[in-house]
Amino acid sequence: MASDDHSIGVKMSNIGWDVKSAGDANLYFSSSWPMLKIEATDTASQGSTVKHSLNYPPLAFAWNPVDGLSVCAVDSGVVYLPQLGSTPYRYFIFRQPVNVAYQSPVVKGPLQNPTLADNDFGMRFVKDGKELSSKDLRDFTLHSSARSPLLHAVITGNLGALGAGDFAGITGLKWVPDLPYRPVYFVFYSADGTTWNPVSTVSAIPPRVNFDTLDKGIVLNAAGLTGQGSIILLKDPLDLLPRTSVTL
Amino acid sequence: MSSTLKISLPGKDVKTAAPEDLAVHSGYDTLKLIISNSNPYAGEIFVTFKDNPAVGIYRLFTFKHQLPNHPFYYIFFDRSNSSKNLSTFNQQDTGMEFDNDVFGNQAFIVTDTGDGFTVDYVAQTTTFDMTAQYFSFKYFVFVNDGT
Repeated sequence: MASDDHSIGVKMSNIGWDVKSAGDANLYFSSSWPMLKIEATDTASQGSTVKHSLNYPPLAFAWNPVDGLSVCAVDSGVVYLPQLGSTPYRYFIFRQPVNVAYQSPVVKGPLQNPTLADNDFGMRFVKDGKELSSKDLRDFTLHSSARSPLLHAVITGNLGALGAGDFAGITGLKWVPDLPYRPVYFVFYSADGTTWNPVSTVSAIPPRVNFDTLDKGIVLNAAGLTGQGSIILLKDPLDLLPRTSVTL
Repeated sequence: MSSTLKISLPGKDVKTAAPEDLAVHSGYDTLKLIISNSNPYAGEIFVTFKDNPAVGIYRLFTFKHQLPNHPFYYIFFDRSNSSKNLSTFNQQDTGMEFDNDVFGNQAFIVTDTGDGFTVDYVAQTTTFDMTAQYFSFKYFVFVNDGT
């Protein structure tokens, strides 16, 4: 029988972490939140469209070695690859709607990096036609010697006047931090509720991404606009990564 | 016959749930990032400007992935820790952006080298005093094919 109770479930920690005390960012998976599942990946030319049959606007990336990562504009049938140059894109379409609200629980735990332990313990699911003994992680859909992106939340809905903070009263959408770290995130704006366009910090005019200095929130600044927004957050900390310091 | 592992989200019946309502579904591939202390596939490059560099190109970081393929990776440029208001560079003083960042005649450039990537700081002028500024990059390198 299905249960909404997050205290019941299954979880597995990343290498080196005790599953009983690991925080959410150090779990390989938990039944309380979804992994990002790849629906399709292939290469295609810049400026082209890729059809999908998900019937919702999915999270999708386009990447190549020259232009780097672009989050794609999407609708319920098509992924729009950007046109920045001429190098073909590798695209990833995920089984993750950008316009359906989701909130996972926060599991706090130690934040320091672990000392990695023996890799002989874990879980792996090999792709059809590949060997379970393979050392190439591409041969597996799941492999606990790796980390895979996990969804923390999707904040979505109609744009409205923002509450307390640097942008109080401005039209937009905001994520107020509930995690003990800054996460990887992606922001979308939709004027018509059909096509969802990625939003960045670079744009000089709304829609753009701002950061609230008061509460460290991530803000979709949509001043003067109407429509809907979405802020997708992963359980991938930006603040806890191994650091290389350089001084000029 | 292959077997499949499915774990549903709270409140969802694993036998009927759509893939979106499953926490885990072994029938779908995932992005995978190798966990390694010796060669971190996710990391931060933290750049501090002690002085205002002379015109030139400065190599900040080199990453070699040691993978058999050309992997997919993404890099965030993080201005949110900048010690100065970058409005003098027509930039917000806080923010995160993918990959390269250019302000005024200064630039941080990420270059793919096939076996990894490099990050350079390019100073075309000394007009903008970079003294005491600091920035960081956050990178995530996955084993999945990027090309």
